[in-house]
Parts: sequence; structure tokens; C-alpha cells
Amino acid sequence: MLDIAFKNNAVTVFLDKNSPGFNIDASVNIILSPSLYWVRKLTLPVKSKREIVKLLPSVFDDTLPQYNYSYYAYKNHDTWYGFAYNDKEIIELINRKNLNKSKISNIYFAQTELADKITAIKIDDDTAICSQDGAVITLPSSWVKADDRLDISTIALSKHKIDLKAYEDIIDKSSLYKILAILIVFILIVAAKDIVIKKASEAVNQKTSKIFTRYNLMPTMIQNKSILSSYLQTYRKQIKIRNAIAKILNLRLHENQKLTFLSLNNNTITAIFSIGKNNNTNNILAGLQNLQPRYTVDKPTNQLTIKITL
Amino acid sequence: MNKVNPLYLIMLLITILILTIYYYTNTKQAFQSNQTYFHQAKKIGLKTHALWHIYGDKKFIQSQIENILSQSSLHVKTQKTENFIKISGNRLPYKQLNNFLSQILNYPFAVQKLKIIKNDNTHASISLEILW
Repeated sequence: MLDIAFKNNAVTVFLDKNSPGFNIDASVNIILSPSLYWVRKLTLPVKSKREIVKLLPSVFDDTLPQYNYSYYAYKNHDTWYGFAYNDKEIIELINRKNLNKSKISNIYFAQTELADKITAIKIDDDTAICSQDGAVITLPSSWVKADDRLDISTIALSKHKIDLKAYEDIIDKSSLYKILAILIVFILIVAAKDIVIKKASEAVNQKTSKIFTRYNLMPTMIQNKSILSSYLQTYRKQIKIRNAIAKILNLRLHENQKLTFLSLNNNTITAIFSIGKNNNTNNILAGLQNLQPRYTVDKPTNQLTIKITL
Repeated sequence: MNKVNPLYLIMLLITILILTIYYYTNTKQAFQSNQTYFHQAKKIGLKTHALWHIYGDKKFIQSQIENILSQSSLHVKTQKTENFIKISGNRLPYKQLNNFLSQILNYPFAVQKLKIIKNDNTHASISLEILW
């Protein structure tokens, strides 16, 4: 049987390669057996945890098999304790022991939790742990005389906990941060552009409203286009009227020719000329040629009637 | 323990990025559409206003006609209806009528009807309708 402890609604378990399978629904704190990590006492002139963690790969380089390791360190009095552990190995063991990964609250080293608390305690029938020279180690149970089993329910857990890199084999942390940073920057740029364009769009809408007010435009563009089209039609027609009347009034008439009537009605301009007895209308018709006039000559009254359709 | 798969995190951010780009594209299209509408409204507004001023601004048209008539010594009658100003006169001297007609045609009025009838060798009658 494995000893478990309840603290803050979380169950504390001791995880060793020889541990039996667990069947726990509650949150779990895990204390890692010394067989799951490497630890070294160090006396190095470094001040911060970050600095020493950077040095740990070279410290463990000659000791560890070739795997990817994570490192942890803490200072106890003047001594640094450096840890190396294989995330993948621990995660696989957690899976094998039926522990739900999503239910794991915190993970601790036996070194940080048990070093000051035990001399020799059995984990199971075959394995025991003991603290020797400040280092927690595993031993065959036959090597120690301890009969007590590990009761971790009495242990107050320390602040020295670790995070397992469950997905480090998919993508390393540095690349992940770079990708996330790039994506976040892109999102921020696009979002900022969106905000800027929205504001510009609102400004354009306000300017459009002012245009509608200033020029008394109708609510819809179809109505406005229709009104403009009507005005343009009037404009074109007036140009044609003026051109036609100007041509009629500027005709070079012969002495016996006179303009006696000029009218504009709807789309028709009518001009009546008295043309004398010789009925010569060539000069008049030639002058109005571009306007494509329809004309009639009334010989008894010597009149030329011209109709121009606009 | 890192419980979130980083690929999920990347996928989430990519999804957010795609959504942001989608909204940005829509906003941009709406902006371009608004801009086009604004330019169209401005163009139509300017033209319509200018042409309304010429053909529909009754105060402007009336002042222009009064100005022309004040400069002419022709004795003509003016009559205003809702849609037209009618100007008519009988037996008007050719020369003055010619000047008057030139001035009327030089202004951009919407001349709807015009009738000039020669009375004799020196006089003619005029009837004119200007739309407003």
C-alpha cells in the first residue's frame, strides 16, 4: 500500500518506479523518488537561482545519460542544491501509474521534502529511503533496519516545486515563445490597424453626412442620381436650344429674306422666313445644315418654314 | 506541470489572428465602400447643387431676371407661376429686343418656351417662359 496524505484538498503521493498504480480522483501532489532525479551539492560563487540553473547542464554533463533534462536549484544556507530530471521519463511514469495529468497540482523532490525529516523509512517491501549527509537516497530495504513506513500525511510541503515540460519534445520553449510572440505581435498590429481604419471610416461617414446636409441631398443615392440626371438633361437641352437659336439669328439672309417668326415649344424650334419671289432657300438651309432641319416651302406666301427637333 | 499543449496555444493564437484579419478585411472593405460613397456623394452633391442653383434657385433666377430687365428699356410684363416666370411684350423695337434676347440666352436659364413674332419692319412681340 502506498502512503497518501490530504492537504488543501490535494492528495500527496510518493512516486517511485516501483510504486503500485494509483486510483485517485482528487488533485494530487507528487513527491518524486530519488530514483527519478539527480542531485548535487554545489558551492559556487553565484548569487541567483537563474545563474546556477544555467550552469547545471555543464555540472551534470559527465554524469547523466544522453537525454534532454530540466534543471532546478535552491540554496540552503551556503550550499546550492542542483537537480537534473528527465521530464519525459517522469511523465511516462505518471501515465503508467494511472495518475491523471490534469489533476496534478504540484511536483516536489524527495530531497526538498524529506531531507530533514527522515533517517531511514521503508517505501515498500523492497525499497527504503534514507537521508545521508543531507542527501535523500533510495536503498534496498534489507540494508536498513527501519520498520516504519513512510507516512507523508504529516509532511508540510515546501515551496520547491517544479513544472514538468510535457510538450518540450514537440517544440522547445524558446521556439514556442518566439512563435507566440510573433503571433501576438501580428494580432496586435492587425487589431491596431482595424481600430485605426474603423475610426477613419467613422470620420468618412461624418463627412458624408455633412455633404448630404450642405447640398440638401435626398436620403438615397438613387434619388440623388435621378435628380442630377434630370438637371443634366435640362442642361444639355438648354445648350442645344441656345446653339440652334444662335444659328438661326446669325444666318446671313439675302435682302428679300426676313425672319418673321421664331418659336420654341417642347423639343421643337420653329422658324419662319419670308423668302421673296425667287424662293431661294439655299443659304438658309446651308446655314442650318448641322441641325438637320425639316423644312417646307409655301410658294403662294413665299415662306420657308423650318422645324428643328432638339 | 505544463498542462496546455503548446500546439493548442499556437492554434488558438492563429485562430485569433485569422479572426482578427477577417474583421480587419471587413472593416477595410467597409472603409473603402464608405470612401467611394463619400466621393460619389460629394461629386453628385456639388453638381446637383450647382445645377439647382441655376435651374431651381428661385431667388437667384428672379434676381438675375430683374437685373436684366433693369438694364433694358423694354416694356415687358412678367408673371410668376409656381414653375415658370413668363415674360411678354408687344411691339418691341428690334434692336432692344435683340439685346434683351441675347442677355436672356447668355444666362443659363432653363428656357421652356419662346415665341417671337415680327409685327412690322421695326417691331416684334415676344413671349418667354423660364423654368424655375
